[in-house]
Amino acid sequence: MHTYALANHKGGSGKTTTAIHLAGALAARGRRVLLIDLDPQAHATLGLSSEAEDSPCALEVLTGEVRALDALHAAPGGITLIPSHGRLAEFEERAARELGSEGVLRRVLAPLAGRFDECLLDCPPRADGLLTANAICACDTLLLTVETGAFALQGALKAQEIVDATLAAARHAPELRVVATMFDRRLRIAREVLIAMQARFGARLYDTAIRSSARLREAAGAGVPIQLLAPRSTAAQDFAALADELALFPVGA
Amino acid sequence: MDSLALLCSLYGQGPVTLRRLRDAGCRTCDDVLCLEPAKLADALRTRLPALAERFQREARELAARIGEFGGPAPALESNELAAVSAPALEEAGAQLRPELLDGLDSALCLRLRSLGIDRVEDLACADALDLARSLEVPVTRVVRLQFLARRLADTCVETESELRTFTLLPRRSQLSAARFSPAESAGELAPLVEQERMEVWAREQAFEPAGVATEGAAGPFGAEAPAPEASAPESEAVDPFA
Repeated sequence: MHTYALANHKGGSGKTTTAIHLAGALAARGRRVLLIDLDPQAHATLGLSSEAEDSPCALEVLTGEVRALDALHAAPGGITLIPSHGRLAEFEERAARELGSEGVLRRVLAPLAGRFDECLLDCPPRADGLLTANAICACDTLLLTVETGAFALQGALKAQEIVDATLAAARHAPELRVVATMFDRRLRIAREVLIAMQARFGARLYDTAIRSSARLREAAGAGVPIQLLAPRSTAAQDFAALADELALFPVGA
Repeated sequence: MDSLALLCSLYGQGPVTLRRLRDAGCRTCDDVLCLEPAKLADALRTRLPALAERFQREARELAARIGEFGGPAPALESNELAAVSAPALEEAGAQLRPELLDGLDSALCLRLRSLGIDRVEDLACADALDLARSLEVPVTRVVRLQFLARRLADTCVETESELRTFTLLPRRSQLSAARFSPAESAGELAPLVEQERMEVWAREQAFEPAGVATEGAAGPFGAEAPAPEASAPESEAVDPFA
């Protein structure tokens, strides 16, 4: 099972959207995909028409109250989801008092290794929290999602700094990749930022830039991945191309 | 992301165009330029050779911007960096004197000293508006002097090195010249580019509202991007590195 953590220090960079629709694209290729919502705002959970009011969520999995196997939800598009809930924010508080709490997620995911081909971790919009630290320590590839807008590069570089520090402390070295999101080629700033990202990240930047699309907003409203709502849309094409890239350049390549 | 993927994202249909070009044997912007327009039109699935020619034009400009062929961008960049040379940096802590900065005459130098601004560093760090009021000179003149002073101070070097880290973006004027005479462009254009950059920077410092940058200049360190489709709405000129 390859584990991808989608992270950035900046909110609104497209982490959740990328997580949902990339999971959908991988599932559409017949891959067995697990999506874990690690954001207490639970947007990935809501974006897949799920909720965890009365059922186990990522908090119970992380605290060991429930096995990961028992927290799996079937979500639209053939995705399997471990949902999130607002109470997940308690984890940061609880885990801060314990030593080695960055490695919890890695341990609880180990029993799922044979059940899924890909696991996507949707991180909260801060790179210096314990939830993101857990995701970083559990992942094989860290996907920095960078919006092609103002301040995007600064956010990405800040996230990279924090990630480097976390990795050094955890003695873990996942592959770092970058994906450009919300790209609108009609906007000059978007073009400039994409060129700057290519210069800054080079081969670490995926060839596919996820274009902004009204269809993605509609998909979030409908609670389904874009592959179900509009399989022939440009957004679906972008995520399909990104999924192809993940398959072409697997971890360690 | 390689240059071909960047080109397809900027001016094509993203992954669809990229796949078609790769199927046609293209790997870089240079490969796109080497294709006959008719063959490129076939690869792009268009019947209009004019579209293929336009795509080649965009590929040429992008290749020049990212320094893929001929290296005009890195050459210009190294010239700009060379302008902040080590001997000049030694002047950062030096006493202000007329010959040190272009536009600093002896009368202004004396008035600056009377305000307690004795060194180049002091001038670079002073508040431009306060200084302009105290000296009773236009703020743009103070800003220009401060720009030159900062070039002599370390802060400017940081900015330049940041620029080099983030991107290699020559200006449109450089691009146009580099297209026709890449070997000669660097030396001839350096003073013009410097002057243009200083003017834009001075305008920004004079509290002009954002988004009114002159056509063809995105900012002091930015560059004008090639025009997108005619029908597409264009955003205001914004410098992402400001």
